[in-house]
Amino acid sequence: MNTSDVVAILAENWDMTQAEARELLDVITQTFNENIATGNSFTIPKLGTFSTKTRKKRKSYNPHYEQYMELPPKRVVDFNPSQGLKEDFKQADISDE
Amino acid sequence: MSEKVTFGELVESIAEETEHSEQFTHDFLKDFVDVIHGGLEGDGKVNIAGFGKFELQRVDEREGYNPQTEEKITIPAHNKVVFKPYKDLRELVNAPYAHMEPQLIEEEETKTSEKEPPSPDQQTRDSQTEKSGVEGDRSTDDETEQLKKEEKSEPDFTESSKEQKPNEDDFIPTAPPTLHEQDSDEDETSDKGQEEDQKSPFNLGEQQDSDEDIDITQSSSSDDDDNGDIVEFNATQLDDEDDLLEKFIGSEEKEHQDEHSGDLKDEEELESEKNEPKEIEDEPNEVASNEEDDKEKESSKSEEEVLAEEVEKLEEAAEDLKQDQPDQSNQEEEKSPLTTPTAVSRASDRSSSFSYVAAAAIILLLIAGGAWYYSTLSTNDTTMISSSEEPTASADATNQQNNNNQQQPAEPEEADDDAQQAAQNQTQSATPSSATSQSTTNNTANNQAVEIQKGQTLWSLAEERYGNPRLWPWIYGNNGSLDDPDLIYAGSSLSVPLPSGPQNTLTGTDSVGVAKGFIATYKWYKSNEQSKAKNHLWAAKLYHDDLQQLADIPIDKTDLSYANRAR
Repeated sequence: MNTSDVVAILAENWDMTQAEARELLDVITQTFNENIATGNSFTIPKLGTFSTKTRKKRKSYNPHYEQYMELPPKRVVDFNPSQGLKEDFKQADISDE
Repeated sequence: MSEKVTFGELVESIAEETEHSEQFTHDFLKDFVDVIHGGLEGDGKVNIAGFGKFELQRVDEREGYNPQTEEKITIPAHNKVVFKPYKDLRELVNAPYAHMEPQLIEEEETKTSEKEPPSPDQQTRDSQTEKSGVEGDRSTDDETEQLKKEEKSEPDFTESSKEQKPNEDDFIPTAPPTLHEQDSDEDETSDKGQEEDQKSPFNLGEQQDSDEDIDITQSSSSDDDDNGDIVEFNATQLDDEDDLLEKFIGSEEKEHQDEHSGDLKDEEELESEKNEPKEIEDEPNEVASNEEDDKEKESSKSEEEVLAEEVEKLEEAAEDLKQDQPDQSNQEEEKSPLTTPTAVSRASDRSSSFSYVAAAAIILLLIAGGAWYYSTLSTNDTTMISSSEEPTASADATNQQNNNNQQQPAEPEEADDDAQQAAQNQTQSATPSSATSQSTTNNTANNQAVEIQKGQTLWSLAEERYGNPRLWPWIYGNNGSLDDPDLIYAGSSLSVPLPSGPQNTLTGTDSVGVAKGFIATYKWYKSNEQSKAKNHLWAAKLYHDDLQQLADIPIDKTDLSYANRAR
């Protein structure tokens, strides 16, 4: 399922044009992005918690060149699915994957 | 920063922006979550453009244990929901560290094991050293003290030697490392050759030490030899060496020069150079000028900030200087033969009226700003003799810095025939300081002219230069000639600002530049593509707090409130 599918469903549910729905969705995702980017964490009910965490700098070894590299610290997005979401999909179509 | 935002607050800000009711936004968001849920049930993945991708990921059955009961359990295969942020979001989140690059680590162990081809020479030395171990250690300690003394006293000495033997010094920094190594090795051996009869155990020991150092720090230049020796004696532990070496790197060049000059002196005076009167005479002089150099560097930083306000002052001061200097150069002529007294008195004078000297240095630098455009004279004949009067003393300092910077073989002490130059005072004071100002402009306004290649974009340029493509508005803002930020032409030339901080980090002034760039793009988008504009303002806010102060146009209030959420 991609964005246009989501937009189509939302537009139908809320009786608006797809353009409107997409614009609204853009604002939503952008708000999410900004909050994540500034390091805020927030929870969307029934979906999960978005936050950031910082990976420390670390050493890595390239066996081909026999070099050690020091990789800089990195800040990444952390998503913790809510308990309900986890449970819902725990058993879903395992055979497919 | 990292605070928790409640769902209510999120809904509020979204509602405010979309001008829908909060109730509607709340319900819409819930529905959005339901849609995601449904999508995951459907095909196991939901892609939200510009945000990320929710996906089901299979986790195979694995062994685990219950941490409370410590009994082994089998975790059955299951699915978990993962969120993979889009590239944009990843970069946005990692922005604080985006400027950092992976760095190669020099591994000590591999080096020592691989890069130590034990020569027969060294092996014999090894055994000899072991035999005479105790004795060697003792003499080594003596040598350590000596080296320490040299270390303390010689930075000054180095400076003076710089002027006295400029050619040699010229050669040293430019010669390739391998050459260094040979040179210093030869120097060392010849050096020791003299002492060998008296102190052969020590000599062998030291020789071997230095060889080891070379092995360990093979990639570094021969400067390490000396440092390595010192380090060896001080610490005697190989492991500590690299750390200590790093500390010594700052003084490497000086010490290297010490070695050369020291060698020459050694032959004549057998290590009595510290007591030699000539050096002592030079020392205070050099110390003073060093301080002045430092001061001058500081002032050159602040110079640009106050430049605009002080232009008028400058011109007055320049005229003063003009009047002052003919007299001084006459005095110089009289005094210059008596190098010793002048040098000493100079030092005392400087320390007493140090602040005035600093002020004069600033003035000279500022003059340079104006004179820079007019003066195309060569800097070779710019040597000026300092006298006990401060304006020229500072000019001398400038001059010396000039020499140091350019490694020019100029000898202020001996340039007595410069009396004629008194007539050309304007050019004199302008040229050395203009050279200095050149170096300042290099330091502060480090722009790079870049010709646009086919296929290049501002985005790719920024990624190439800064490692962070999102800084592209900085380039845009720095090039007033650009109109449409989405359109640049191959073959045209751009002035690309470079971060002035170490390791590509942005300094405060850089951030202001970036913010200005974002405001420039904001302005363009505001008049051409309204919907994108506020995002640029938002980004500008990240780099500078007071946007209204930076922008020369009034900023749309709604955009500003949007941007204010950035902090």
